[in-house]
Amino acid sequence: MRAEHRSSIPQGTLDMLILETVASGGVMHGFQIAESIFATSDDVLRVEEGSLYPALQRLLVKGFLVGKWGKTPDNRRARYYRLTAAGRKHLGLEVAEYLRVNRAIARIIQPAES
Amino acid sequence: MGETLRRIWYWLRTTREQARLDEEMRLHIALRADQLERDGMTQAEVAKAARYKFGNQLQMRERSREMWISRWMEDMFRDLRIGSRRLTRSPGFTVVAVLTLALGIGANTAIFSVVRAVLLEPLTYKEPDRIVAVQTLWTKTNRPGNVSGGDYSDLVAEPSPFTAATRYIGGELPIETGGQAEFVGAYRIDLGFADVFQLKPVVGQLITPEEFKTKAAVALVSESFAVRHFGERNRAMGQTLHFEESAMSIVGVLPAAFRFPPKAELWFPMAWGSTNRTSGYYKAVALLKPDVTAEAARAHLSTVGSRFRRHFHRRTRTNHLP
Repeated sequence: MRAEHRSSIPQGTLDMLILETVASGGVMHGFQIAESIFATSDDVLRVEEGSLYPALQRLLVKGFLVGKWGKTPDNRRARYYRLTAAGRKHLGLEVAEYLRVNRAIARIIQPAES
Repeated sequence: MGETLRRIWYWLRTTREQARLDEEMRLHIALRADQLERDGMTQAEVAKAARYKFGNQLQMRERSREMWISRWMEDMFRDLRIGSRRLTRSPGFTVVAVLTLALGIGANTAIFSVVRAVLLEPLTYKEPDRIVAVQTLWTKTNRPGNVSGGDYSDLVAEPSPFTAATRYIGGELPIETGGQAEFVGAYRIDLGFADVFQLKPVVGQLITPEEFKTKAAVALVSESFAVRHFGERNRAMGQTLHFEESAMSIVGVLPAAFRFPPKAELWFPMAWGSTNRTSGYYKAVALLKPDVTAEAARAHLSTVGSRFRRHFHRRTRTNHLP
């Protein structure tokens, strides 16, 4: 049984999560990306399918991902996504920025113990 | 390849890219369905849940397409507005701006044709060019309007330019079934309705002439309604629908693609009692006989209308509009 408390993806982080997932997973299709984010986040982050494909299109257009059609193990056609060099560079910047902001937020809501 | 070029690339291949996107979504739904089935759901539950999880496909397609061009166009026009202030000072920039503007106009037209093809569904009934709306033309105001109960029977009486005709009236009505209530496009119809649109039910049967005569408590529903409420179309048969104080049972299911009037999902027989000639309550549609043009039908109805005027000394004349 899956976790009951699922959270939506924080605004603005979906692109980063997709890029990170593809960066560590290699070559994946849309469904695998969604499932991987869900599983890697211990069933907390459920990617809305309604946001996933627009995001993938956005990343294709920006040149951060490239898509190539292939076959799934049970012989169904799927578009497999791969990270580009530009995507890897962008991911680095996004992650750095995200961590910086996150640490700042953490400092505010969790003041250092005396 | 620069970002601008890539956008134009995706945009030029809109149709192909759309087909690819559709294919990705279908795969996603199929894989999700497999997964849910492994979790022990029944097939009907699976189909419903997989589609539900996927959300509004059309909206998603729109949003995906937006990624290719429209957002970019907005940005571009904003840039152009800012840029145009510098045009006089920089002739080199003028050429670039004019070229970009031309591209922008091209994109706009393309998006319109895509929207038209995707959003405005094609007519789903047979021979739409033979189906006409029959209306009353109020001579005082020269405006077309609904048909009154009294006029209607004269309008479709033999000799008639129509193979079949029907009245209908309705709208979004609160319908309750199986403990759930929702507003459904529900219309009271006449015997000729199925003939005008040459309908065949996918399950069950049409409402019979006898049922129309006795105003039986029966209804037809669309496949979309049947699947939404009962899981599959076969299960809709014999189910009870409540509307206000009355209860109707479903005798037939019409194809999901058939939508007339545009939002209709439920049709039931009307008690057409009114013979009043002064107020038009009903809308009416008719199927032209194969060899009759809309123009000929218009002429015929004009004659009927003039006869009305002589007989009833009324201010109305009848007409029809395709």
